[in-house]
Amino acid sequence: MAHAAVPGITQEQKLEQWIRQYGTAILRTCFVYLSDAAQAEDAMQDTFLKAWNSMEKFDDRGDGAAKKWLMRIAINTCRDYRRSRWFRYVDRSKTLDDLPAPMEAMSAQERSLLIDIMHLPEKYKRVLLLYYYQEMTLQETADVLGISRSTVHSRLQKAQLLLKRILTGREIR
Amino acid sequence: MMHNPVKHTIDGQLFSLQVTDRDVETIMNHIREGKKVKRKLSAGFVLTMILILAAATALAVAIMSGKEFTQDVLAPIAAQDTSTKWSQEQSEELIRLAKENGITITDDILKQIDSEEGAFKESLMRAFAKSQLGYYPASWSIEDQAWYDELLVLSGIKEERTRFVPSEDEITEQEALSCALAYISAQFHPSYDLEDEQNYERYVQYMLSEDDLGNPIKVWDIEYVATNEQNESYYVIVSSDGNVTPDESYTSKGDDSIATAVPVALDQLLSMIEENDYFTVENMACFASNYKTEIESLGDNPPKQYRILQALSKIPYSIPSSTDISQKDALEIAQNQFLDLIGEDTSRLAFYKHTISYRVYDPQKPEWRVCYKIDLIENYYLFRDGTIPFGVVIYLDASNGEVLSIQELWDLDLYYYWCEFPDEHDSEQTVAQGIG
Repeated sequence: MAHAAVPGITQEQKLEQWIRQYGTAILRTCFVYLSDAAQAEDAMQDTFLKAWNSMEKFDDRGDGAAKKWLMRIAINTCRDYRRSRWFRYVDRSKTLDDLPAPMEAMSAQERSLLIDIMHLPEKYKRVLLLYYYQEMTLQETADVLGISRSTVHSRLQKAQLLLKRILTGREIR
Repeated sequence: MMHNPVKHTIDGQLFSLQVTDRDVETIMNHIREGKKVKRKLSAGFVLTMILILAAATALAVAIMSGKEFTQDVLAPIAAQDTSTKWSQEQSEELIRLAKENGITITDDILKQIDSEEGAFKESLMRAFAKSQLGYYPASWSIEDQAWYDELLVLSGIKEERTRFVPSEDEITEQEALSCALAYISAQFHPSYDLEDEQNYERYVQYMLSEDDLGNPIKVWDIEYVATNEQNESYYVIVSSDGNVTPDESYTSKGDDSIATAVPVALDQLLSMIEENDYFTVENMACFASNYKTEIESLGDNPPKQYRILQALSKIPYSIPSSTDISQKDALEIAQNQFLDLIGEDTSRLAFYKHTISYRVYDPQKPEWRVCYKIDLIENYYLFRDGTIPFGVVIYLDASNGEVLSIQELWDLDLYYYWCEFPDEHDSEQTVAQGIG
């Protein structure tokens, strides 16, 4: 749902509205990206703190601008986390047993899809998360990642191809 | 959007990860108190960073070159936190240390430091290194490029190495240059000596790339850029074992109109796909004629990203005449054929997208082509057990609706070749080029 600016509310109220509206989706995106619940929580909190620090400069034109902006901050925050030295020394390969328990019974295939996505190379995971999970358009995904629409399109194709290879047991790179 | 298994899986599996009222309160309290959220840094990490900073400060008292300053002072400080930018305090400290060590503060450095948005770590490190090494990467040796690349990884600014010094079993820079020059001379017969610095600037990089299958490979990226507009410029890629390929995406200075038009065509194609959920008969007819000239000018071996354009430009899209059966009728005939194939279960139609186009290969026998394409990611589980085909393509005689042929697509690769963009399979060359 697009976030529309509501006249008459304070910056604090607006931020709180954003946390309630987008926080859970950002938290889950961060988890898929970082493969670590505690890190994901930190990244989600950092995202909103960074947003708060730059809110005065942000031009909320409505039409999903806030969501795009917050997602850009979240993705950059996750990238920062992954760049950190200590992050690279921790084994983050996950199995089904490492995932939080699902709310409802999910098929093994559905559960393995999440693992498959988490194991995708980072650049493909980013476009997949924004385009499919956040349900952004090609253009919105391109705007968030600062890449061209054609690059988003080709990465989505590659991501799908990699997931297919995972499914069919073929070697992936 | 139809059922979205990515969203369904993530939301279902990660249901327990939710932002609660308490989380909201925690964040808002931090904001009100002006505090940062406590990060989970290990004691070992903090100790390491303190030692690095101490070492960096100690080193900084000696006189250094721009390169040494970048490596021994900037990089360790950059590694202290995960931010992509220097803080104001760090910037001021860096300038102080640079002055203390006799490092030239260039206009570029000052501009970055004074920027309201703050200086990016990588950009400022590069600016300090450039004060000694010159323009990046053209003036940097292969060794300096690799050194800088490694430094960025060690500082946590970059994730993976992408520039290297060739190993013993890989060709040297001189050998790569010889291969490139021999190739350019044989293929293009340049009018001037490419090694003459009056006429050409040479840029060389040894970097990570991908082969056609997406596998990582190391390549020499060699460019001879003409210093005047009369000369052609050349850009070739030499593999680590000496094979040369021209990079066709490079366009010499006289071809600006093509360089602009082709990306515009690709962009328009993507817009059509996005806005119309794949092509409409009308916009494909229009697209094919609008960009035909520019796309044909790409030659027989265009860069990968433009191959789809080239393939589509070869298909004779057109608009049906009044004597042809209508698009609606063509779709109805095709749908009946399709349902016959997949078991007449109309609910299965929901798993497919369809596209339709009208083409005139033979003016006496125009065709409707209807392609049913399984929506791959959204129907992820269905094709796994092979219960339904990935795609079905149905050809109809446009004048009377007679079914000319039906093709079922079961193979994954063929699916990609033939269905991702719905019309390119007509061209054998297209398939041979590996579009998809």
